[in-house]
Amino acid sequence: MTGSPWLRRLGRTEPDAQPGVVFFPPAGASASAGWALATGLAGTRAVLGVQYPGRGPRLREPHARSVRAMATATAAALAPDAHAVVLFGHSFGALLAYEVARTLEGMALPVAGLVVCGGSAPGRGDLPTHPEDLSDTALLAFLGSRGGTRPDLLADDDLMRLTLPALRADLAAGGTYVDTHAERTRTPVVAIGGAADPVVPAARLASWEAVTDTWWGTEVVDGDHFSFLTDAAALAAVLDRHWPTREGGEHEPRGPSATTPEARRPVQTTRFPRGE
Amino acid sequence: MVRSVWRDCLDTDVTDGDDFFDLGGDSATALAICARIEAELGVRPELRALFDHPGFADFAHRVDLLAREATR
Repeated sequence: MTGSPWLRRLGRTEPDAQPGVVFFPPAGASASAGWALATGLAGTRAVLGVQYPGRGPRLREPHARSVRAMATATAAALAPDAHAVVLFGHSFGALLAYEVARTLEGMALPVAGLVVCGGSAPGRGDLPTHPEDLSDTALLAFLGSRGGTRPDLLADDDLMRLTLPALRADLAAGGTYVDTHAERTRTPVVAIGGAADPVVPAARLASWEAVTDTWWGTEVVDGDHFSFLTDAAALAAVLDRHWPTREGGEHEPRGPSATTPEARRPVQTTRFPRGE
Repeated sequence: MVRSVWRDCLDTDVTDGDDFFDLGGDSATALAICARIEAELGVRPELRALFDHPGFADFAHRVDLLAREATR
């Protein structure tokens, strides 16, 4: 599954418990943004990171032009093991993970589930799209205001020269993405985020309910936009509750009703009422 | 010397066949590696060199060339 440039194994262990996790990084980021998560989940789940072109190990490649083009390539790479993975996308990555789930479903190879984090459902305008929002100055301000990027990295001209074009390409792709699927997906969806996320207020996470027939609710932890990228235990709790692991075998999702109290980790679990 | 810089910055043992990204390297690690090499050898590899040549042996060779050019 890692023969494709789109997928990189994250972490130094290779657990074979299923389902594994496929991490979709936020705008401008590389697969390596999921390394801390993979380390935190070590020994429990295999974690693959989606490596977008035009950065990191794919720095020499041109940027992708659209979410759909990225989804087609990622879905092809994931197809052999789609049933055995849960997609986890953060912000821009949530949009892409959603489109990958839809693409695989269209190939009759549905994934085990979709966890969308720190972003609203397609069409809610989370991402800046106006050309003047995409100048170097605006992008630096964008990174600075979201937190999650260390100030010394933001201040490094060489690094920003490599990073900003990738960020610009992702924002352009995400901002022009249109969800064209008429039917709801059958893939189970959980939306998670930080209670104090200044970028995407937690209440907006419920917008994802409209995209799926199998809505498993919203889960919120104390924290900001990037909490779930730094707190592997919180993510592990969400995954264990909805997609408990089985050693190399088939797995049956339990859904939100059968929960294991010992797996509960998020400080605060909120479920928004249906039909809101 | 380059090996010990990688080992410290990536917090793991490093062999010639290792790849920067497979060892968990990211932007912050790359900057730290370039800064440490500059501090110890007086030459600073470009960040891009590490991204373009993520294999340890290849990168170490390039740093070696850079250091020799600087002393000529």
